[in-house]
Amino acid sequence: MTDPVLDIEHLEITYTVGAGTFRAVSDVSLKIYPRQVIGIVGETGCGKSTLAQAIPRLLPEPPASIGSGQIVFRGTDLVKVPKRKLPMVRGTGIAMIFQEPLNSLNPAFRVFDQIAESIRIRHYREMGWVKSFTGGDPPFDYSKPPVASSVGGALVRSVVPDGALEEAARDRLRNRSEFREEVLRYLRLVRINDPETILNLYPHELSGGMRQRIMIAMALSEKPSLLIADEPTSALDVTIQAQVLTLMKELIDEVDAAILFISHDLGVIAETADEVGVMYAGRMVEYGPVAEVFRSPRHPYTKALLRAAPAHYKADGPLSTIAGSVPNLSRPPPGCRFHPRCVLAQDVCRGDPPPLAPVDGASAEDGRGVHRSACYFSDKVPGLP
Amino acid sequence: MTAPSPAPTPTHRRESQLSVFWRVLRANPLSLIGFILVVLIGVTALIVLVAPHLLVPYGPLQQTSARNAAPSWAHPFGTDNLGRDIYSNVMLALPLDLGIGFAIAGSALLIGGVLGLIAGFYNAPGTLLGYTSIAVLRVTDIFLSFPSLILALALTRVLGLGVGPSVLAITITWWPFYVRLVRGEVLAVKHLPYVSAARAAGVTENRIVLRHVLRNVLEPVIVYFTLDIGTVLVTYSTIGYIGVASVYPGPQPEWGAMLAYYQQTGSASIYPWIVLAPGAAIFVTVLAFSLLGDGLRDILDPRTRRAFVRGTSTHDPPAEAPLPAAPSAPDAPQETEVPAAVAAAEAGS
Amino acid sequence: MGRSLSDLFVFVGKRLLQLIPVVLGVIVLTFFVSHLDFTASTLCHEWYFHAGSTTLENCEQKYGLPLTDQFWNYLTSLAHGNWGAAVLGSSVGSEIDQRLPATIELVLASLFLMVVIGIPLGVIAAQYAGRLGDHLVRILYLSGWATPTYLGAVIAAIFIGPYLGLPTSGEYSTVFVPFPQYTHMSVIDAMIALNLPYTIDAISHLILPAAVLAFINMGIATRMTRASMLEVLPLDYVRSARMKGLGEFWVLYKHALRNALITTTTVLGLTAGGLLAGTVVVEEVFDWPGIGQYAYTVIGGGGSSPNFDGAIAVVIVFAIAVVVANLAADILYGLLDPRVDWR
Repeated sequence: MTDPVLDIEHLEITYTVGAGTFRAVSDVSLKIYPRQVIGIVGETGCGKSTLAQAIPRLLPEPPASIGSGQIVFRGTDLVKVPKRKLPMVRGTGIAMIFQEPLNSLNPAFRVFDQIAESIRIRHYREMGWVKSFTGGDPPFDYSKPPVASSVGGALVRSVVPDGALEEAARDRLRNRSEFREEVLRYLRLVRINDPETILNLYPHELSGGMRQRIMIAMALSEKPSLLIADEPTSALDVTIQAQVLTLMKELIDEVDAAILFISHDLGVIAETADEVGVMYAGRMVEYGPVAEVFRSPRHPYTKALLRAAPAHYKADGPLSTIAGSVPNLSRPPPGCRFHPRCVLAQDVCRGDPPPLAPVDGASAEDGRGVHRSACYFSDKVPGLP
Repeated sequence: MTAPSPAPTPTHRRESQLSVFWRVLRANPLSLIGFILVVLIGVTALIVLVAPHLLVPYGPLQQTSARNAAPSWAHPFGTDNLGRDIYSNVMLALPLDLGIGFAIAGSALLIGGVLGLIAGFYNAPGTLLGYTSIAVLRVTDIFLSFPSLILALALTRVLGLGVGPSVLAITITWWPFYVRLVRGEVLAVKHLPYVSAARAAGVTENRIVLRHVLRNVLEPVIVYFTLDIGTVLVTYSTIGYIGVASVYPGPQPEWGAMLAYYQQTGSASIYPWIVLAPGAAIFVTVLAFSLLGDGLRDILDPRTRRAFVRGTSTHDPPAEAPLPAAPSAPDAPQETEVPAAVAAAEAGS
Repeated sequence: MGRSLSDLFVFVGKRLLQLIPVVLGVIVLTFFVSHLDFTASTLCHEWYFHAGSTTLENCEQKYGLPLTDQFWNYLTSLAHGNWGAAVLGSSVGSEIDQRLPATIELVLASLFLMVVIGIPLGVIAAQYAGRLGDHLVRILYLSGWATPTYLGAVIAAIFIGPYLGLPTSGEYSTVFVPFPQYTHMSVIDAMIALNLPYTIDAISHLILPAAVLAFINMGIATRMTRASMLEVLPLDYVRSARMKGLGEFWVLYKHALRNALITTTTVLGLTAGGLLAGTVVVEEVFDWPGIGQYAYTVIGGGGSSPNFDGAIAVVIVFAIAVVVANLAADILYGLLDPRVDWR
């Protein structure tokens, strides 16, 4: 019986600005287990990025606020952690990579310095000089023990302070060439061919794909338990996107972290994720194993979304669209938020919002791998055109 | 129900410039204070000019029986060793000092602004205007190398003592700043796509300047001008302090001269109000203009505007800010390119 | 790319070379402007009215020559390091030699205070933008800006100094100092002589005048830091730095400020003019033996007898100082912004 790395329960996030209060995320629940890749997919503005950034409490708290709900990371509710203690979770606990790699790397520092900083942060925590979050928590039971022999496995394992790690950290900090070697190892992990040259370059001297690899290296060098990837490939051209995705897929096999992958691109999610959650207007409307959800969606929105994606770039007639537009989140429609645009809508849809319930009465022991849909008529969806 | 939901963004009204100005002014309390103070000072100056008897009880040289009196109801700022009412002198100096500030800053703005416009816009190489631009730039650079106070002081030596020559001296020292500022702004705007678009559409050069370029230049220039009134005032009264401008005591008092006189006649440490009153007058006036100008600067610059407009915004939480434009590699200090951009950034931010 | 050590020499060298035409321009402009609009006799009478008749005759002879001859004489004597003679007392050149370092010391101390206090204030203002902290910082630096130098100096000397027990005049407490003054910079000289009590004494004398200058001119640095930080803080790499697990302090002062400082340093070069102008009054009020005080006297401030050669010399020296300061800011910018190519 494994515990989830991340357990989000009924999370509510609102934005309060002059024009009103926007309910950006409503009643979202999510569980991520170790070594899983969970994808969140949805249109712009559906709340997926808000959700992603809320997990490490990265949202600026004055306009944004977390209403109710829990974000339990390895046993601790992050919502209740006071702001000044949050840095302890970040980096070695939860790491994040962003969309625009040029802006995400500090233009004033060389590659070596940026990765070195991450490694140093982890070393200080391993040595106990700086308090990190994992202290005191029971060790987690991984269903598959980390493969120590593989290159990735030894490099990327969650931080649990223990004597051996402490020794190693101290050694490496003292020995400059060994430290440099460690930096190089992470660069090689992300398949950079000539890492020695890259070390001395500045971000503006690198290409987009290279920068994103360095972001990944930086994130992984802190050996996080959870890696959140917020649209990491959206700013790259298609060919580079493919390279980075391939890299990430290979890394998934090697590293021991869980990955939360946010994207608006259905294809990217289909390729990389194990399970996927579909978000609409701040709510999670469908969830399940990626193959199942994409092959036989059980929510009208998911179905319409899949249909709307142009197939094979052929000129097959007019593109299919979803009538209507995304609701104003300061005045969302009552009940199911999709009902104004839904062909299956009935009166009941305007009442209580449908819960994210297993379809076809499916269930599993730990609730993993269950296909869920937030629609009263989920069984009617396969019959839709 | 098939009607589509309303659009995501709240309704936009076309807000007039004035109401935008008001709304954001209210969001920043300090600039509002500055604005109110400036208006008050202006009105007071007007009253003193037109109807002095309303606000000024005594004449500037008028001696009363109260010698070295501490501030009281009869003499709000006290009196000096000959019984002259400090308050009256301070008040009478207000229109002069304010007028001097506007005159100098205004003239510098006109001269420097026009030259800056030429240097920035009409600077095609090989034409007469082009050569003029280069000449203007060189001269400006050299002028800018002098600390303004020093240059002004030296010029007063040449031009002579008194209010008029001092004003002239400072104006001569001041116009180069406006050249740099205006030129920087013009350069920033000149290559924007919409200017090229206007040109392609057949708009004449002069029209482009008038409608497009000037409009963009106007905002930072106004900000700079507002702040400048304060700076000019400080410089002028410093010159007055050093003793080469006005004469005090005299029929037309001036704050700097007052301060110099009272500080040098030694009564300052015993009767501090004598020195503090004109000093406070300068301070408050300059502070008022600075608050207003500084606040305006924040309001007009879209980058810093967000900080104030958060509570009043009609848009969703701000999107990613664009990369700060890295200024092109700076050339020699006397090349006005980067200093202009910095001055423009300084004034515009 | 173009940022190796040898490139740095090229970078600095190019800028030093560009100094020369500006300095020449400064000298020419000063000279000709100051020789405008008078005849030799009016000049001599106006400037040297205290002096005796022989001096007046010499003066008339010197300034009666045609302008270009005068300029040539001036240039040649400059090349020989002769800035001209004063009517009374030591030559202009030696005055400058002795006094310039003292002013440099004062200006450097002010810069130090401006950076150490002004920049963190700018960071704080950006952190609390639009809220109370921002407003307080703004009032602070605008007050400094609104205070005329002489007012601030006088208030500091008459009220604040005695209240805090800080000395308000001179470089040291005694007229004679028991060690040679090699550099004419009070603190440095005392340190070279390994004289601790005098070092402390020198520092305590430096505090008030430097503080006055810093307070008045701090606004530009704080203002610019705030604006740059506001520009930098929403950027993604600040978020990345937070996500690495760095505390807010390091995120601000290591990652954000490092980039925000790039524009601030350029602006700091611009403050040089204000600082130097301020020294004229501050040195006079605090009896600090620097070029500012000398400028005050040669311009004829406070009724002292003016010195024409001295005035020209002072104007030129100040201008060169401003140009050098801008050069330093330029070089600093090139060092800080990694996108600048040094070649």
